[in-house]
Amino acid sequence: MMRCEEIVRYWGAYLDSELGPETQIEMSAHLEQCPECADRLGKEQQVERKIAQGLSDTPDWGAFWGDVERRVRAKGRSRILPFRWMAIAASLLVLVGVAFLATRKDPSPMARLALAHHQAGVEAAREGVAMDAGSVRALLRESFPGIDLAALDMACPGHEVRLQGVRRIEVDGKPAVLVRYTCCSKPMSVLLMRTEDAGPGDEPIGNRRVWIAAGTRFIACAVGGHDAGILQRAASAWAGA
Amino acid sequence: MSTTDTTAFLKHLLACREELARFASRMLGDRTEAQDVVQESVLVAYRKYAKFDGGNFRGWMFAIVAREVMRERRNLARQLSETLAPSEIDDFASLDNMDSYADVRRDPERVLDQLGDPLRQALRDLPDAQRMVFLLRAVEGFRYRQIAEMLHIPVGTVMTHLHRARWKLRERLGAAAGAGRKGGG
Ligand SMILES: [Zn+2]
Ligand SMILES: [Zn+2]
Repeated sequence: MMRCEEIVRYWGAYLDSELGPETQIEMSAHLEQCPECADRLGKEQQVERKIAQGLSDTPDWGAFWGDVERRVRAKGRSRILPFRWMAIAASLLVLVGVAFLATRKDPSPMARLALAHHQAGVEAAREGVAMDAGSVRALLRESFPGIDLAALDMACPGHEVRLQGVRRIEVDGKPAVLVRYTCCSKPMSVLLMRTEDAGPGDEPIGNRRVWIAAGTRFIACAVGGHDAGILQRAASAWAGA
Repeated sequence: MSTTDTTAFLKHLLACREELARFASRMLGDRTEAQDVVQESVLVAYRKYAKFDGGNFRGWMFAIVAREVMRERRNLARQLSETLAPSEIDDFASLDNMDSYADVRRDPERVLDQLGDPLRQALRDLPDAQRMVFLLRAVEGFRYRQIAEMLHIPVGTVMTHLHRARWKLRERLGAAAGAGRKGGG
């Protein structure tokens, strides 16, 4: 026969109906004879139910599900793009300042290309090693001879940045560099490559805005938890490159 | 994927999406972050839908969301699989020594109706691993075995996290009830 002290040990599993059959039988037998334990368990059951009720409301996400559904359907029709990073709020930034154009319906080919490579690079670099700014700069200098590093600044203005890793990749046979870092604890990454053919634009993709603008020398593709405004400001910090 | 498959996928999703949103929101706190994770999870699931075995779609979906949450919270996976040293709080009897919890236990319906905010705060204050296991069990109703498979941890570890979460929530609710009683006169 179980004792009262043993009952408390099995309390949670009993309420969850997760006890093995033998323990279950022993426990029930005890509860039939012990009003204190029975009362106590009844009360804990009520507490548990109230807690679950108190946490059971679901959030109202407005247009979110409609957006998601549209994207799933679009994905069903074609498989042009790896979605992951677009989904997380991709932002394409440019190092050379250009006017942003207003809405355009589809991402430009350049945007797609950059995002696709960004995605591949990020996945490849997931186990990136911690790096210091000096090594990143060295790698950039090596990959893009003649780059003006003085103008490069990883930081969202005012935020703390930690470099995590950097990887050289190729986009259509041309060198690109993927830098991973956290900014205010959110994982970010930037793909940096030379381009001549990016079209300018400012496009909504998913429920975020994606900034696409063109430069004649570099295109940067930044992905992370930051909103486009921060990324846009970051872009202007890079603009002198 | 065929239109039929896409329609089937979306139909499955419709049945559990509010709950996925709830789980991600309660795990991550931040709405934007939760939406990122859920959207990403849906797209991952859609990509893998051909491999879905036709069993429990909701459980399959929750496992994907849990994995994406782990990507957002770097320490979570480690925290989940940590072997926890036995502690005195593992004994539920220790709640008996807490006066304010006695108030909660005396009349849970009445007392807890007034403790919505402290409850949500107490949940937020739990370590991520405990919060995740607790939500999956107590709010989303998964079995220990399902949670263990979802999170790739042993059932015993599920039970330990769950037990600690429950203990801490009660402790905090007791404290809030005690404060309310004193404050309210
Ligand atoms: Zn007893
Ligand atoms: Zn930042």
